[in-house]
This record gives sequence, C-alpha cells and structure tokens, in this order.
Amino acid sequence: MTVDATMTNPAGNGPAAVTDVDPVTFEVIRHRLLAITDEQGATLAAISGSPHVVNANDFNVGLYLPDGSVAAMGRTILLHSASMALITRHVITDCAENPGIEPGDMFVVNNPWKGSIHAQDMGVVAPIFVDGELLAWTGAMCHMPDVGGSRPGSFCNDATECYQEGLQLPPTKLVEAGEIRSDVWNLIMAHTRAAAAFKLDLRGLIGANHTAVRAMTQLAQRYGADTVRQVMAGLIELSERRLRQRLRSLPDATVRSTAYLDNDGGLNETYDVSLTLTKAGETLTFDYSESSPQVPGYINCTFSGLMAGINAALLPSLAFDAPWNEGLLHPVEVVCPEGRICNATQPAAVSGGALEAGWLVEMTAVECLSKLLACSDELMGEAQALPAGGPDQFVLSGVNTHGERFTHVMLDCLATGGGAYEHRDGVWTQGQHNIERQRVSNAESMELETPMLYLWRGLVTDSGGAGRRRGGQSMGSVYLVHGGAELKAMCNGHGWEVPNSVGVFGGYPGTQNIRELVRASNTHDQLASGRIPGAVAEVDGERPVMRGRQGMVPIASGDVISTIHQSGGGWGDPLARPVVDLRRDLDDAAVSPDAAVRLYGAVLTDDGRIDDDATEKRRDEIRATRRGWPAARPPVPIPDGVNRVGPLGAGLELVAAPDGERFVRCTCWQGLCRAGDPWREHAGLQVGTDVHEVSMATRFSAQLELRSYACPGCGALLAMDVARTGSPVVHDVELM
Amino acid sequence: MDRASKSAVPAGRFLVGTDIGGTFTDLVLLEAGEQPRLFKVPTTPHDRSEAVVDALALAASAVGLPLRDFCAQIAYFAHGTTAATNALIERRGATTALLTTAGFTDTLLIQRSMSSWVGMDGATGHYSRRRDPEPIVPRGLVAEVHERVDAAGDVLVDLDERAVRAVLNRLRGAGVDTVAVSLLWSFVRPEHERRIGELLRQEWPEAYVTLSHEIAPVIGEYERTATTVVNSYLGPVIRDYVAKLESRMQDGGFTGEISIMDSGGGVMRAGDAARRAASLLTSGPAGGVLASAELASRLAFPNVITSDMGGTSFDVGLIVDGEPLVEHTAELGGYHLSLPRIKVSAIGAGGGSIAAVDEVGALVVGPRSAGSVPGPACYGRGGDLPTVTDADVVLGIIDPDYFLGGRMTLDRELAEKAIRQHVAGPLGMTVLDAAAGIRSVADNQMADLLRKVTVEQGRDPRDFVVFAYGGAGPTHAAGYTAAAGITKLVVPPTSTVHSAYGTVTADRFRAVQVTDVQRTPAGEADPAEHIDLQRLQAALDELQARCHADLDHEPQARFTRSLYLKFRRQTHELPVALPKGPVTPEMMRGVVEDFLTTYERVYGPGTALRSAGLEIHTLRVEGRVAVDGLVDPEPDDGAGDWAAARAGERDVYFPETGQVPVPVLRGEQVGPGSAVSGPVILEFAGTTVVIGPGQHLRVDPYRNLIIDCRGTA
Repeated sequence: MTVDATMTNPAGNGPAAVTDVDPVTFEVIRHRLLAITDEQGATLAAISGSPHVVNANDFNVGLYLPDGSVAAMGRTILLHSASMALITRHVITDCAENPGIEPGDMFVVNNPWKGSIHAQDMGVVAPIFVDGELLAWTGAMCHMPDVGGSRPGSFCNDATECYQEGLQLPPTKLVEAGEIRSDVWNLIMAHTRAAAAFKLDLRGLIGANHTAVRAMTQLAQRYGADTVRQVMAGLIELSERRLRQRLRSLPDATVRSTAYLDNDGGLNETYDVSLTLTKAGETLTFDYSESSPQVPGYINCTFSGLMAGINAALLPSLAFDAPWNEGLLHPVEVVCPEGRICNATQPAAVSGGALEAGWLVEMTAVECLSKLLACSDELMGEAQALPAGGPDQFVLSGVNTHGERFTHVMLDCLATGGGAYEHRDGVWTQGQHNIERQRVSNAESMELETPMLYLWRGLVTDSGGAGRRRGGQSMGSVYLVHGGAELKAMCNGHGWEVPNSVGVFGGYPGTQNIRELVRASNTHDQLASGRIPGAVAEVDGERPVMRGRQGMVPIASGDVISTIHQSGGGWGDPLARPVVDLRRDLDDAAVSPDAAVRLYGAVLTDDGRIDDDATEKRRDEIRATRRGWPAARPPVPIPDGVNRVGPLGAGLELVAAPDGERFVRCTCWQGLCRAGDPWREHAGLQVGTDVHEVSMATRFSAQLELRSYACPGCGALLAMDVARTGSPVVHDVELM
Repeated sequence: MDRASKSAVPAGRFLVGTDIGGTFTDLVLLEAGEQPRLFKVPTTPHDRSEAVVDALALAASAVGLPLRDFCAQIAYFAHGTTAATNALIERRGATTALLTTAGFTDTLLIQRSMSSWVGMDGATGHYSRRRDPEPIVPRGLVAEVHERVDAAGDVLVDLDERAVRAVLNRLRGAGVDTVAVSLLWSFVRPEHERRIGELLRQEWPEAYVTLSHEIAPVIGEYERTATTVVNSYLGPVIRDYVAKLESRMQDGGFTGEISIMDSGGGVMRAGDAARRAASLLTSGPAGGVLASAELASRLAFPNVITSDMGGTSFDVGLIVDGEPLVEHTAELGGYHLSLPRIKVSAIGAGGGSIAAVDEVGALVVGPRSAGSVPGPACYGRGGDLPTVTDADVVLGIIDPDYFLGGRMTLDRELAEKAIRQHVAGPLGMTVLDAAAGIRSVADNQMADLLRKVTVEQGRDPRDFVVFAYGGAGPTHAAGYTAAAGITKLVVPPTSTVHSAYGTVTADRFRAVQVTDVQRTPAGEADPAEHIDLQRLQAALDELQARCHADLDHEPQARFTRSLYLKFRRQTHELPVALPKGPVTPEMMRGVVEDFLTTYERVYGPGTALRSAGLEIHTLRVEGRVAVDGLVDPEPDDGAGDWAAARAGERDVYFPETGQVPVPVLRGEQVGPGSAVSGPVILEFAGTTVVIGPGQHLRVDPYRNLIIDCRGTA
C-alpha cells in the first residue's frame, strides 16, 4: 500500500490532519462506528422478522452529526442513504422549538416532503446526548407493509393526489424521555391494514436506535464525546476528499441524459426525466430542470426521491472505494425547480415515485456518470451501460389452496441483469442497481405461499442488450395458476413501451418489461400427458392484450402468466463482439441463433455453428452499408501531428493539434468534428422505430424513435439513442 | 467395505485426535490417568496424510514406543481436515452432472440472485468487480428431466424414464464422474429421485451419486441443489483422501476405523464421510467449538464465545445455554448449502495480518495477510511488511528466541524495521507506539466481532465468557476480551491444538432432517387442533429409525428431536426441542409455549407475532454416541506455586504502563491453584499468554487459565 505524502500529517497529528485524534484511536473508533451500524441492522432484523427487512434488506440505519450529516451508514438499499439526513434535518427544523428535542426522545417521519422517499418508508431518529450535550443522532428506517391509502401495500396507482395515499407523518415525537407515546403509536396503527407486522417493524426501528444510543454513549464515555465527534466529522471529510480527488482526475464536462417514463396510469403519455450533469474542477452539478412537469398519476417523486436517485447512482459509480457518508454530497449541487415530475409539490401523488420517476433519476445519473468516467482511461473500467430500468410490479391476492385469503408481492422482478462494462459482460441476475445485496425467493417457497406453479424459471435468452460487451440476462418466469380462487394480479410498471436499460457507445438496449397472459390455457392437459411447456408460446388459450399499467386483472386456475424484466444494456458495437464470445453465448443460450445473425452479424453453418470467415465478411458488408448512412454535416478532417488527449467514451477520442485546437475522432482515426461540437451531426444516421430489430419488447412508444450513428470511416456503430421523435440531436458529452 | 470387521474396537490405551490446518498439523494424545499430550508438526501440502504420520511418530517417541507398537495400541483415532473446504474453494472436485426438473436448469447459476456478489464481503458496493460465477457444474452438464410434483406432493407429470436413460447415456459419454439429482419437491415426494437412483445403479453403477432428498431433504431448491451438487463434486475427493489416510494408518499398524469430523456437531465413520463429503466442510473450526462446549459444561459456563486466532483469520463461535450455535445454511465456496453446521464467524485478523497506513493516514490492520509464506517480517523469509506478530515481538510480548517453544527463531530487528518503515515513519510515531497501535487496532477489531455475534443473537456480550485458543488467540485474548467489555477469559491447556482435542472428545454424531410444512391459521388457534400429530409422529419415527440405522443401530445411541418453528410470513425460524415419548396435544402446546418463550428471549420481549399463525417447518433428529474409553481429566488441587515456573523477566511495553519489566513464566510449569496478577507472561511451547496490567490469573484444577480481564484496558 502506498502512502501519499500530501495526505498524511508529518507531525503525526492524526489521519490526514482532519482531526487531532491519533491514528490508532481514529481507526479503533472508525471500526466501532461501522460495527455499531451493523449492530443496529441486526437489532432491527431480529425484532422485525419480516421478509422485506431480513431478506430484501429494505432498511437503512446510521449515525449522524448533530446537524444531521450522515457519518456512518449500514450497507443496505442505496436509495435511503440521502433520506435519513433529510429526515433528521426536518426533525431539527420542525421540532427543536416545539415539542423540543430532549434526551430519550425519538421522532418518526414518513412524509415524502419531509425526507421520506414515499410514505411506505418510515424513519425513526433519536438524538444521543452525553452529559447533557448533543453528541450525535442515530436513525433507522424501513419499508412498511402498508400505511393506508387506496391500495393494499400503499402503492396507490389510482391516486391523483397525495391525500389519497395514506398516512404521511411530518416529524412527530414518538418516544418521549424513553417512553413510547401511546397516542402517537395508536394514531399510526389506526392507519395501516397490517398493524401486527407494522408494530414489529416500528419496534425494530426503535430498538435499533436504542442499540446505537447505548453503544455511542459507551464509546463517548471511553474516549470522550469530543473525540468521537471528531472521528465522525473526520470520516465525512475524508470521503469528501476522496471524491474531490477523483473528480479532479476527470476532465471537466457537461453530460446529458433523458429517460422516458411511459404513462402515468391515466393518460397514455410519455414523460421525460432529463439530466444535465456538469463536472467542473472538483464539483458536480445535477440539473433536472428540463424534466417534465409533475403529472396527475402516482409516478412523481419528491425532492427526497430525487436525492435518493442521485445517491444510488453516485455511491457505486464514483465512491466505490470510499466510506459512504455525507462527505460524498459536499461536492454535489442539485438543481431542479419545484413542480417537476422528479421534484413534485403537493398535492401530487407520489406513492409510486421511488419505482417510477425516482428510478429514472437514478438511471439518468448512472448514464451521465458512466459517460463521464469513460472520458478517463484510468476510470473507464467503472463506467457501465444502464442496468435494469425499472421493475414491473406484480402483487398477487386472493384465496390460496388452503382456503385462506392472502396477498403476496412477487419479487421475481428484482432478479435483473446488469449493464455491460468495458472489460466484461453485464452479470446475470445481479439484482437492481440500487440494492447492494439482492436476494429473491426459491420457487418452492413461492409455490408454498401462493397458488402459482412455475413451468419455467431461468435466464432469458437474448434479454441482455447486444454489444461488444453484452448486457447481463434477467430471470424470467412462466407461472401456471394452479388452484386458488378469487385471484387477482395487480401489475404496474414503466419500461413497457420504452427501453430504459439503454446501451452505451453503440451498445443496444436490454429487454423491456414484458408480461403475457394466457387465459384458460391447456397447460394442465399438457402436464397430464407428460409434457411440461417451457415457454408461454407452447400453451394455447386466449391471449388478452397487456399494458404496462395493467392495474388489477382477475386470473384463475389454468391461466399462464409469463414475465421478463428489464435487463442490462450493451457496451459498444455488437459487430465488434469477438466470435469466441459469441460462440460461448450460443453454447450458454445467452444469445439465440436468430439474434446472433440479426444483431451480431454472425453467419451460421447448417449445423448451427458460427462460420468465422463468413461472419467476418458479413460484418464487413454491414459496416460498409453503415458507411453509406447520410450525415447532417460532413466529417471534419483532422490535421497532421495531433496527439491523443483522452477517450470520449469507448469508440471516440479527443485529440489536440499542435496549435492547440482539439478534435473528436473515431478510434479508427477518422475525424468527426471540432471538440465541443455535437459529433453526431457528422456521423452517418439511420432512424428506426422497430424496437424488435434491436431488443426484446412488446411494443414501442409512438412518441419515440431509435437513432443509430455510425463512423463514416470504419462503419462502427458509435451510438444508439432512444429519443423523442423530432427532438434535436443528442449532445451527450461536451468536454470543456 | 466390510463394516462388521471395521467397527470392532481395537484394544489399546491411546485415544488420538488430529487436525490438519493450513500451516500445522496438530495431534492430541489421551491416555487414562495422564494429562493430554499435545504435538504439532508442519502440514505437508503435497500429501496431507504424511504430516499425520509425522505427528504419530512424534507422539510415539514421546511415549517411548516404536511407531508400529504405538499405532497398534490406538483404540480410537479421530481426524479433522480442511480437505473438503480446500477442494471446493480451489475448484478441484470431480466432473459433476446435475439432473433436475424441466424448467430449472438455471437454478444453480442464478443462486437466488446472489451469484454475482456472493463472497465479495465488504466489496459488494464495487459493482465493476462483480463477476458471473464459474459454476461447478457447467451448463452443458445440467440435464432436465420431465417430471413434476407440486407443493402438496401430488404428481402432475410422471417421470419419463426413457428420457432419463437417454440422458444418463449421454452424460456417461461426456466424461462425467459423479451425478447429482435434485428435483422439485423431492423432500415431500422422493419417488422420482429414488427411481433415478435405481436407474443409475443399474445403468451406471460406478458413478458417485447424490440424491437431494437424502443429503438435504429441506425446502428451497437452490440451496438443496447446491448441497447435492457440492456433495457429488467433493465425494470422490474425500473418498480418495480417506482411503489414503486409512491405508497409511493400517500400514502403521492401526486396526480400527477412522472417525472424521462432521461440521454438524460430532464425528462420523470414515466410510460415511466418503458418502457425505459435504458434511466435512469447515469441520476444523467446528472441532474447536465442540471442545469448548465440552469444557464449558465441565466449568459450568452456559454462555461462551469461542475465539480462535491463527495466522490469517479470527474465528468466533457461540455457545448459548450450553449448546453450540448452529446455522441452517452455510455460505462456502460461492454457494449456500442446506447443511446445518456449527456456526463460526470469521474476519481476516491473525498474527499474519498486515498493518499499513491507508491513504488518509489511518492505521489499518488486515484483512490482507502475509500468510505463512513469506509470513511476518520477523520470520526472516523475505516478508518486509509489518504484521501483528511483528508488533508482538517489538513490544516484548513474544520472545523471538522462544517462538514455538524455541523451535523457530524470530528476528526482532526485521520486525522493527518493517514497522518503522511502513507505520511509525509515515505517522511520525515511535516504533513502540506504532507497535502498540497495531496491537490495539487488531484487538479492537476482534472485540467488534465478539460484540456482533452476540448482538445478532439478541444477547449482551457481557453475559458471556471468552474461550481463547489457536496459536495467536491467547496472546491477544486479554486485549480483545477487555475491549468487548467482557470480564472473564479462559485459556484451556489444549489451546494450541484445540480443534484436534475436539475431534477426539466429540461424540459420534448423525443428524437427519426433513421439511414437512404444517400450519396453524392466523389468530391464536390451539396448535394441537391444527397440526396433524399422527403425521408428525410418523415423520419423526421415520427420521429416528434412519438416524439409528446410520449409527449402525448402536444400542448406546442417544437421540434428540426438534421442530423448527416460525411465525407465518415471518423469517426467523427457531428449533424447539421435543420431549421424549409419543407426540400428544399437550406436548404440542408445550412446544409452542417453548417457541414463544425462546423467540422473545432471542428477539426481544413482545416480538412474537402470535396472531400471524405458526408454521412447523423442518423436523430434525440428532443421534449421538459417546466415544468409548474417554475419561474426564482428573482434577488436581495443587498448591499452585507459580514462582517455581519463573523463567526470567523482560521488558514489555503496555500502553497503560509504558515499558516495564514483566515476569515470564514457563506455562507448562504453572501448576493448578496458582494465582498471579498481571502484567505477567506465560510462555507455552505453542503460544504465549499475556495477562495485562491490572488483570488476574488463576489456574483451575484442570489447568485451565482463568483470567479476570477487568483492570486498566
């Protein structure tokens, strides 16, 4: 391990001169603080016992400075990392005067305008006093099973304003001088359909805070409150420094991304979540001003949802090696006027926001940060094509085979493939990008709990976006409804008419969300005759037309439902995928022979093997065709004697002429344009609307088009953009 | 194998336990009326059975017998090994095929969505480093079988036997050695797996076969399939390993059957080990915890944290109310296995852990390790990075001339140089302060783990006693015990070979289980009215019969039965012991009461969600047979004259006192009844025990060191 002399204090006065604490005590306390957050998580999981806390890790815990800054947090769902600081700050603002913040108090918040991402996320924070002085805050939050509103589970997909979405507590004193206030407790329980489980979760949050208060008090007694606070502040400063250092190593740039959100449940309209990211020196500005105005449906998110999405993208992209805390937000500025779909004001409905507009905030941020990282040779390996762009929720309810009423949230939608990287394909079923450690249930557990029988559950061939590096495959399921009564499937999701998991640098998008229903199928007959249909195409029956926001659908024994979930996008031109990799794809059924031919330019022999020479020839032909695509402007020739400055993504690079003028060229050395101009105007363009030509999908929004750009010199595909029809050319990366 | 001739107990006076670790192979020799004798030899990686013979030779010479005569007098030989763990981690298993229900080829690849991050520990947030797993069954060797059973156990699709035969023919031609069969719901209705097993015996008798309903008849197709596959993958490796060891032992003159450590909680016969290879995984740490449980019961400590600090890792186990804590699912080699085993939590902290100054100027220790090659700087084998052991040498805690009882000389100057260059210099500290800092950071990290494992069980660490063993454990235990706020520490006399001691003292053990879900409706219904007691009784009887058969119908076998209960739609599952005798409505109600009590004890008052209804999940029967000829050590109410053990005095640096002269005692000579106050150092042939300033040592009649860790730390 090397020691950067500039980062150590030669006088030996402590880590990076951010504190007076000696390096040994600093390390001991640092380790202990992280261990305390682990103990908090263990306490919450123990008391709660619920599957979403214990298995899905849908919770967050942490330790905060007196002003609410996060100093240490548990490694759970990334989305919640920002909201605990917001919650604590709202508590300080709203409660300091009245009712007051005293030792032994705890405050509950689940209001989306007071820090919570949506009302289902309930946070409890507690001040930690030592010798009468505020040492720190601690907090814990988790996703509650139900907080009322129009739908069980409180994803109120029929809501048009927040007042239909259940209980939304602003900062409220829940524990006073160590005693739970029964009036507040009862108020909360009066609003939920699931009081029994809710009580355990809420007690778990309180218990987690007790654990932290006790442990922090002991720590302060052992080392002194000031030392503990200094270490907490030091951790924040060290993470900030590390991020600033990383930002300094990246070129200054403006990066843009727009993601499309197909319909809000009512209107069949396509909305924009639009980001302009500016990196200047050691700061980042996320500007979402160009996003659509807020809409009537429940897909909006509030400011906390916006911050959650940004955090979920920022942490693993830029801070993969730094402790996650508030310091990572210090170099970050966020701009978004109120009233946008991703910064909605009351009375907007927001209960779906975390999975809808908030999710696309994260996707646009991942795309912009990745494209920024790809402007550095050193950090290119951290850039990725987009991961799964949003879940198609599936909640099943009715009467099970034992005659009992049940509601079950089917979480197979989480087992999605990852985006491709420069150095590797996307990994299969990595889970959602904002969940660090994803798990889904066994098929047997689902079959025990619900009247659903899996005919097939596996990696979906062709689900990963095509590219030089391929997107990872998602898990798909084919379910047979097997018994039960009065069953209803509630299905809602975006990414149905829009590919959200887009590729980068010529990579294709991963599959869209796809759901098929076959009513009154002949499957039970097929089973009786000894055959297990392995795909929805193999069963006969009535096939109603499906929509992304299906709402509630009655289903019955004998019906078959098949689901495929959005999957990682590809990286780079699919024609550049080495034949040896494509051969393995065919062996592993990651890519079908049909897709190998259509997307990857392969030529197959009669026995289905790849013919290397014929494939090379066919790829050359396709590239030759691409070279003939029309460009809006001619390519700009590059003067002699240029030097490479650095990469501009994977297929392009920035060069500087001896006179200092800079140009963009393809890695084949074909010049495209002057630096700062949109290179796409100088590249060959083909516009299409047939999404089936590039990925798996049910259909494509009539408001969008697919734009493919190729190098006029070598015919390499440089970008495939999903864009609003008729909109100006995308200028995604503008180096300063 | 001819079991009748094998199970005959040879006459002899010695009981021998051995354990093969990464660096050393340990041997414990027990003989009636004698103190346990301990031996340590270097492990021989090219053929690990060689080190066992080396250790036997050492023991033979210690008792003054030729090796052959010594071996002939071994009445019982038990063995713990990392062979299975190593083969899995290094992917050195057999070429294995998997037969599974149509539609489920990818179960083992998807791993319930954990495949890309399992094993990444603290690095799961570094997404670019995720990788698809390298499966131990290549996708091309997974064959789907048309058959289907549903959750109720009804056959929806009959087994297509013709297709199975065709598949077996194809696999046989593909160079496959072993076959794993894992079908959906096989633990409810095993007929299809059984039939495939018969077809395999007919068509392909030489294949090593594992059927999922036999190895892991529990719900959850991913973990069950992984367990089945891993067992087949390791089977031939362990079969060969055991055969080699047996032949070495027979050559040496030993006539009995070898016993092998089972990580579930005891030992099994060598022949069974070859069939249940997966049960050997992590059997090493299990031996130490079992030995601790036995000691804990003798010392009447119900709650114990066991801590084993070696060269590279710090392993912690828990004994709660006298029973070792068992986990239902183990994560190992990138898979999650449905094999209940003694739970051991580990972090990368050991004598070889490397200390460094990170880029922000904090002093960090581990998880990088210098291992045994090149090892700590003071080993003089070319390692130039400072480690925890180097810090111990610099501080005067370890005598460089008396490491491993003087069999290895350490170089104090190299240790100082490494610490000066990599820690003290960059931080502007003295070498002594830097060394004390390294020790303090390491001790506090380990203390954090002690806290974590107890808090996870809803317990307060201060209600526990710490047992310390392993080469480095006793050297650091007083530090990490005190840092965790725990008062009492025990260092057993067998501490340096504790796992080997565990193998020889552990019962013969067999656990069998099956998932058979029964539920009560939501609300506080009488469980006896909703649980089919006859079905429960029949399942338990069958389990017990199977367990007894697996123990060769030993008349001495003792059985315990337990039910795993949980609240419906909740995740925490707890085993509840079932009293002896027929299952009655009263017994069932009592079991539920016990469950509610235990649940609230573990997870806190008021956490029992009675209104959700209950689910009986898995039924388990454990059988145990005590080792023949094992006698408890004799207590020795000695006068305890520790002064006679005094070997000298040296300067030792403690942060509380600075450098002070500290008495050094020959550990083996500190007799029962001795009591001494720290600071003091006890040097044993295999370890150094530190009692810090203000701490107190007393030696009990069994030569356990009982240390009161209050004091200044």
